[in-house]
Amino acid sequence: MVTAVPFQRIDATASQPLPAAVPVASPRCAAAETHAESVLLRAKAGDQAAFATLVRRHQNMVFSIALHMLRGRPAAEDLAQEVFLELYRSLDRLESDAHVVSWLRRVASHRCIDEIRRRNHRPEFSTDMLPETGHSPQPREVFVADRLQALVAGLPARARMVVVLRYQEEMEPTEIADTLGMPVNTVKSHLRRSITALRARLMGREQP
Amino acid sequence: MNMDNELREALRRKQAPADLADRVLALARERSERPPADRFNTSTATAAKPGTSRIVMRWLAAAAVLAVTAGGAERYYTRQQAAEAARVEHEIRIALQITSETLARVQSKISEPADNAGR
Repeated sequence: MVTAVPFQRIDATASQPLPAAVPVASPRCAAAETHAESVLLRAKAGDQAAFATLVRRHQNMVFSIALHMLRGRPAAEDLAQEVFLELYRSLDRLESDAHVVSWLRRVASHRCIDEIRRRNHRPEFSTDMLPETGHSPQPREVFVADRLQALVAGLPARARMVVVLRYQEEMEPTEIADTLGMPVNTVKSHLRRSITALRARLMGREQP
Repeated sequence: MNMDNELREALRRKQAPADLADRVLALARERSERPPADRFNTSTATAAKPGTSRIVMRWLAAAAVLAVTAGGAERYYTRQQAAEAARVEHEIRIALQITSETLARVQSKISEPADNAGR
């Protein structure tokens, strides 16, 4: 059984988070927010430097979602590029920096899922599958992160997206449900089954 | 092992390529600054005129078919009306003929008793 550990919420609107000591309503935070809004306004007015700032602020988030989903830097770069080009065309419809973040997550997620379905040749394992046996053990300290990334990449597309949004973006199930347009219970079910399957696979590899 | 922490560690945000923003901007400029006509290659551009005339020809053909159909329908309607008039005329003639014969028969029967009484 999976025990959900509550996440510490982070300011997902900034790729470079403010220091933890800075309170939420501090003047620095407010100034950063105002700056973010002014960047968006200038980008909407056609200021390309402001748009570049907007891209740089969110590029790690979009690129990482794509990288964790597609498991290849060139594919992730291409996808991130396309997402930001779509952002460029959709700036008029975005009202705030928080809106930009949720929009980027939604578009990146759906594009990743579409891309995975389009490829449709990568072998996927079901979250119901039992752990495999007979593999040689690998030193956990060195390989666990890589192994986990590879195992996550083997999850079905939507389950994979749920896991990436939960652990990379530290989003709550309700936010993930909103982003992916699926019921909250489905999100929770994906999480529970994915983690169970990942743990089983990881342990299966680790134990001789 | 705490899977939540392991996953959080494994799926940490990674550094995007430094020139991603520049690439996006270059692509955006390239796609938005081109005039719409330039988005098509030369062969597509030169094929525009024949395409237009083909559309006009299609419209003309459709109009011709429509005119012929309308003319045919009009002619068919006129013929139907003429046939109906002829049929009605024929029926009236028969009715008048029957009436005339009936009247003649009635008249002859009326005149018969008068002839017999005279004898």
